[in-house]
Parts: sequence; C-alpha cells; structure tokens
Amino acid sequence: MRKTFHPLLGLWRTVPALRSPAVRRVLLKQIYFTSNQAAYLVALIGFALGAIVVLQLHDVYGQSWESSLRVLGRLGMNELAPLLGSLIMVARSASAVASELANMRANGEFRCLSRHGIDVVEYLLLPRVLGMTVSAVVLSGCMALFALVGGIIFSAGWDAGYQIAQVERMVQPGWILVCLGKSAVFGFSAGVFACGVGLITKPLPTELPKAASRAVFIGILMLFIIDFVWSLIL
Amino acid sequence: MTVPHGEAVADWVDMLADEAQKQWFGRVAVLDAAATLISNLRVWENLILPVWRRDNVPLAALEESVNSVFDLAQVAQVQREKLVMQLPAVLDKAERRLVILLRSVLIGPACVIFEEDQWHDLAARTRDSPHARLFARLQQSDCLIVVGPSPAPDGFGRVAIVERG
Repeated sequence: MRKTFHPLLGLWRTVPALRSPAVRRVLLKQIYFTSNQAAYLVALIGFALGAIVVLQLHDVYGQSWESSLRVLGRLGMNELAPLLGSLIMVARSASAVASELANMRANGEFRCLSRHGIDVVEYLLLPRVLGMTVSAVVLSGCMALFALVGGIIFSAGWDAGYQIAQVERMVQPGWILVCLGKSAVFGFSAGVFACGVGLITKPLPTELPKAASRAVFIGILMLFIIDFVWSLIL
Repeated sequence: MTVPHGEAVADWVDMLADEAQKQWFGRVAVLDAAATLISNLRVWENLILPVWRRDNVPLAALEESVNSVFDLAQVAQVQREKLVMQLPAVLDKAERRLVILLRSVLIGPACVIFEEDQWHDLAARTRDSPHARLFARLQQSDCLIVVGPSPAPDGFGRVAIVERG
C-alpha cells in the first residue's frame, strides 16, 4: 500500500510547484473539466432535490413550509449537498482521472516527463488532486444553493422573495462551513484515490478499462466511509 | 553506450537522463525510439512544456522561440500551423519524430540522449529534410549519448560519450 501510493504521500511537498504557470494550467483545466462542465447537471439535481425534500416534509410528514425549509437548510448543507455533489463528481471524473493516468503510464508518458526533468507528482498528480478538491467544493456549494432555491420556490411560490429575505432562518454560517469543509475532504480523498488507482494499474491494455470502474467504486466507498466517520466524530 | 536489448535500453536512458538532469537541469533532451509525446496535450503544448516548466517564461516569448525553431527546420507556415494544433494521436511516425526534434532543439540542450533506433533513423535522412536540419543542430550539443544494443561502430567504444570542443 505504501509503495503503491508512495508518490502521493509526498504530495504536500509539491505545493510550491503551483508557482509554475505550466502546473497552474493543468490545475485550471482540471477544474474546468471537473466542475464547470458538471455545474449545470448539479444545479438541476440540486433544484429537484430541494423541491422533493420540502414537498415530502410538507405533504407526507405534515411539517409547515417554514419548518420544512429549515430542515432542508440543515440537511442540505450538512449532509445531502456535500455527499451528492461529491458523488456526482466521483462518478464523472474519478474514472477519467484514473484511466488517463493509467494510459499515460502505459504509453511511457510518465517516463518522458521524468526524462525531461518534469516531476510527475508536481505536474500530473498535484493538479488533479487539488482540482478535484476545488471541484467538490464548487459542486457541493452549487448543489446546496440550488436545493435551497428549489425548496423556496416550491414552498413559497410567488412569495419566494420573502423567504429569501429570511434566509438566515434556514441557513447558519456554521452549516455553510461544514458543507464546504466536508466537500473539500471528500474531493481530496476522491482525487487521491483516483490518482492512486491510476498509478497502481498495470500498464497492460486489458487492465486499463478496469482502472476506471475501480476508481469509481473506491471513490464512492471512501465518500461514505469518511461521511460515516465524520458523523461519528462531529 | 552499448546495453542489452529491450527494456534495459529504456532503463539505461532513464538512468542517464536522471544523472544528466542533475548536472544540466532542464537542459537535457531525450529522443526515444517511440517518439513519445504527452497524449492529452496539443503539439504546441508538447513543444513548449519542458522549457515552460523550467523557465516559467511568458507564452509570447515561447511562441517566438517555437517559430525560430520551425524556421531553422524550414517547415512551411501552412504545415507548421496545422501541425501545432494537432493532438499526438493523429500524427504519423515521421511527424512525431519531427515534433520530438523540435522539442529537443527548443530546450537548447547541453546534453542529448538518443535511443539507437532513433539515431539510425535520423542519421539515414537526406540532408535537406527538416529532420536532418534539426538533427544536425542537436549534434552540436556539448554531450551526445546514443544508447542501444548494437555493438559500437568504429570510432566508438563500448561506452561512447561524444564531446565537442
């Protein structure tokens, strides 16, 4: 295990490499492909999620609209948005990262970079892990925001303006921090494991497709394990 | 340098490149037999990557350098514009070799390491081709190493490091 993830263990030491525009370019591309292209999907799912939660709480469990929105705020920020936002990111991007790295390694591109004095950890792994961390935060934030919007619109209808003005009743600053912090941990974990799977995959054509499914499976599993541990501790 | 067949050649090239990088960081060009390029970068990004990572210079300055290397190779404007925007996957073998030659000259290498197959292919090209012009420029480097399984030809020892000047 240590040998497998060895390059990733020293990841923190490579952070100064972000001063290089070449490394920053890879990071920005990673953020673009991972979060920007998924933002519409996440916004749509978040909107539907907010509406579903509020309607269920009101219609099925007899909660008032105000109470339903407060539950949505807490549940959405603390649990649903970080988990679902990160889940969508893992499903879309973990497989791409793992298979891309496995392919590059099989084609001798790691070797080519190293021979030209370019550190693979700095140039390939750091931007991918950071990119997935930032993307998880962005996507979770986007999902939380649109879930609130969906909930407000479906509960208040034309009076949505009033609910928006009273938003502090639904969301507390601490919950926002929990949402962003949790999604950052989820994103970092997903990035590390996706890169790890890309690194451990044998450089054989038959192994490359397996890397994609393995990365998604491990990524999702780790999300739930971390969420479970988080719930136990905090 | 004479080494056994197969993977050993690549391992020796790795080792030599590693040592050379310690002495001339960022000024080492490696021309492998497979003409490896980074598959998710366009040709122009492949060309500038080693220099960009080493010097952190603005892209405008790098563009001038790239143009001067194309001028040295005497590649037609239309052909170079088409080439730089392509992904490595669509390049044929000759184009890949041209790109790694361009990349190597752009580095301004103090040390050039060839895998033997690449060396033979380039040495066999006619003098008025872009490949030959760039190959000639690389041969002017301070340190030139050819790694392969064949016995060293006349004039070379088992380990041959060609030094100029």
